[in-house]
Amino acid sequence: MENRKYHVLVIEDNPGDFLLIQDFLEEEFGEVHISRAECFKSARALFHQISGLDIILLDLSLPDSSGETLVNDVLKLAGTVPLIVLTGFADKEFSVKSLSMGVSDYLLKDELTSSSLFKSVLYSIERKAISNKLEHSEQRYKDIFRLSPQPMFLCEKGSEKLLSVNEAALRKYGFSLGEFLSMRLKDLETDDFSSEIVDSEYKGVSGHKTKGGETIFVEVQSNSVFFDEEEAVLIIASDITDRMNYINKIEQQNRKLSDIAWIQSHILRAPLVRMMGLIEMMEEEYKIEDDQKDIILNLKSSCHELDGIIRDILKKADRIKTSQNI
Amino acid sequence: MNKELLLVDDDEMMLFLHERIVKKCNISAPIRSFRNGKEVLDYLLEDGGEGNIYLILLDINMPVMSGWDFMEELNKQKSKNRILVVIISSSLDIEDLERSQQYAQVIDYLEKPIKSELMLRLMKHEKLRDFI
Repeated sequence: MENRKYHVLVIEDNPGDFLLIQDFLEEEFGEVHISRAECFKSARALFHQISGLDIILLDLSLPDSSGETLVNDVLKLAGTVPLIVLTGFADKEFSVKSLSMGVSDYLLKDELTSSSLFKSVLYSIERKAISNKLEHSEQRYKDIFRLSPQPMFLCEKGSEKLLSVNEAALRKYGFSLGEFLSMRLKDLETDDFSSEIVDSEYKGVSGHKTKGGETIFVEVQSNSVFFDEEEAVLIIASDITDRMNYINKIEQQNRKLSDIAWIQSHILRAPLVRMMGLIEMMEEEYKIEDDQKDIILNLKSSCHELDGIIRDILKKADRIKTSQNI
Repeated sequence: MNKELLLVDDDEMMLFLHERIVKKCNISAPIRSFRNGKEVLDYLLEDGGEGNIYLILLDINMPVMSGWDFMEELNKQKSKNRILVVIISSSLDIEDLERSQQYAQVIDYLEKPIKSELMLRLMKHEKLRDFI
């Protein structure tokens, strides 16, 4: 940290005060890069020119702005760069208030020493770095929710009132954010197909209605989270409509196949066995001339062939008896 | 004690064939034919006697009342007569074979077409000893 060269912007119209600050900074930091602005306007201009700024020191009374307005304007300008205000006794009360506005620290000019300035600058830089990191990670988690390709819902624990939805949910369901926020999660579900809720945890497959009246099937998963310091439930809904439709189609085809097997077994085979029975009877009860025997034999083998075909089809449908009884 | 052989099939030709085959087995019992489960059920219900033995050769797939529906109805009745059933079906369906084993009255399941020697062998079934 010590061998780092800091870049400080001092916004101070009083040349005496500026010199003092410059002295203090150089005394403690050794090599330090100091930029100076004498009014808010030039500070703003300067801010756009320089980069890699580490901290801003701001005098509370400038020729073109002062007090709360000035602090607000500079904070907006500063973004992630920490800001320390320098003030006289008269402004002490406001200086305290400025801390809640986002100012990192305030220093009373009359009590300023090189070591108190050094400490405040270092503290402010480090604290700001940490809070920036936190803000960044919070933003990252918000982005994960907002930009996830899976529809996500955040709802109040217990009441199921929707608190937030992501962009994928808006796209998938067609409702506006305003419409969503006036709904409960249950309002999305179809009557005959709702997911199981155990201890505010959602699980299973659920039918959801879109704004266009279409029913989609979603697999729902949930987790307890904190949202604005309240307990909430985060729900992820993956669309499995295509998969469900596919399964339904296969099941339908299986039923059809089963029906075909039934027809083979009961209907188609009935006239065949009648023929086979009649041939059997002819052979047993009638005297058949030699020249007719071939015809009977051919008739018989044709019937057996057809019977074999029916059995093969049934075997493929897994419906055939595995062993003959007698 | 009466003994009767009841043939049940909606197919006229099958009834004719089965009757001829059965007659070759020298069965003394009178033979009656029925066109569906309902007809044979009504016939059995009309019988007020007791101790009679009926052997029923039963087809499965029939209009009005199928063989299975007949078996269900039969099991709802308290009969004082003995009823033995042989399923004779053109069905090769495994489900039909499995179902036939659920009924105490069913002593065998034969696949159409039945031949004379098959029927002769059936008549030697131990449960048919009192019937022959």
